[in-house]
Amino acid sequence: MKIAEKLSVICENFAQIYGSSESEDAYYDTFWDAYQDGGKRPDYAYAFRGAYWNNANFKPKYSIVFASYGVSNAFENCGYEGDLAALCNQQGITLDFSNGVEFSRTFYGTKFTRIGTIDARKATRFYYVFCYSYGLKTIDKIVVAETTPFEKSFQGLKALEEIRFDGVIGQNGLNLNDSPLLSHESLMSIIGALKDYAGSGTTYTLTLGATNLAKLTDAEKLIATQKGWTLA
Amino acid sequence: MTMTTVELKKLEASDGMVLTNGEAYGKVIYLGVNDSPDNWREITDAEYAEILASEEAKCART
Repeated sequence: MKIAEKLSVICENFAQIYGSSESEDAYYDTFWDAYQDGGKRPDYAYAFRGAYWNNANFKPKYSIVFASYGVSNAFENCGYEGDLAALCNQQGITLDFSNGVEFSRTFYGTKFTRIGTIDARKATRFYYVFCYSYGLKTIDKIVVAETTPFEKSFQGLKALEEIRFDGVIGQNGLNLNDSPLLSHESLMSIIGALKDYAGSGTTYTLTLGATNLAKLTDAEKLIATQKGWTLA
Repeated sequence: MTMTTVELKKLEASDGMVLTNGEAYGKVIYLGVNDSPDNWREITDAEYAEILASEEAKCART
């Protein structure tokens, strides 16, 4: 069994014990002090993966600073339903993704409705990150670099309405075709972040889908196309 | 003072067809300044549906 799989099994067992206890409060500190290593745990890959994490037991005690390879699958299929950013505020904690390099399936299949800021400037992989989080309506901000490799990152995000980009969306293109409910402000945030490739002779594609494209004026579309981006 | 006219180049797929450049797909495409209509071709809706199903299957088993 791979280490990641072992961690997943341990995580499942912990969550079941913690969540089923009648004296839940008494176990809270003991459980989270151990699970988060008193706030020093660096590797959260697979840490909150699975439906056994729910609104009763998913209450991290310490802020999370993800290590470079400790982001992947961190919340995959997590059963907590609701606003992750609000939960963090309620718990008095933060999620720091700024060291993250490998982001594969970090929020794949979650039931979160809102996610806060994700700093993906160092990401060398951003694969299926939010894929099939069907209830996700808001991603407060994604901080990106030209090299942030969006790759099917937003597949299946049918409910997404609000997203903001900080930084430069570059050579890997971007596909939000599955998110027809995006607000105009979100679309303009994306267009505003596109790197200008006009003089490079190369073309990159921003796929938004016909419904989103219809929300933009010709002048707004021109901002993107004049920067060398084809809109699909 | 100089004045230039900047135009939007729009491709629309025929009925029952979808435009693709091999990576992106759409019924309506607005070409970037460096892009050419020659880079785009039409496939049928059925072919596009097959591609989508394949993508979903890949995502599910990855």
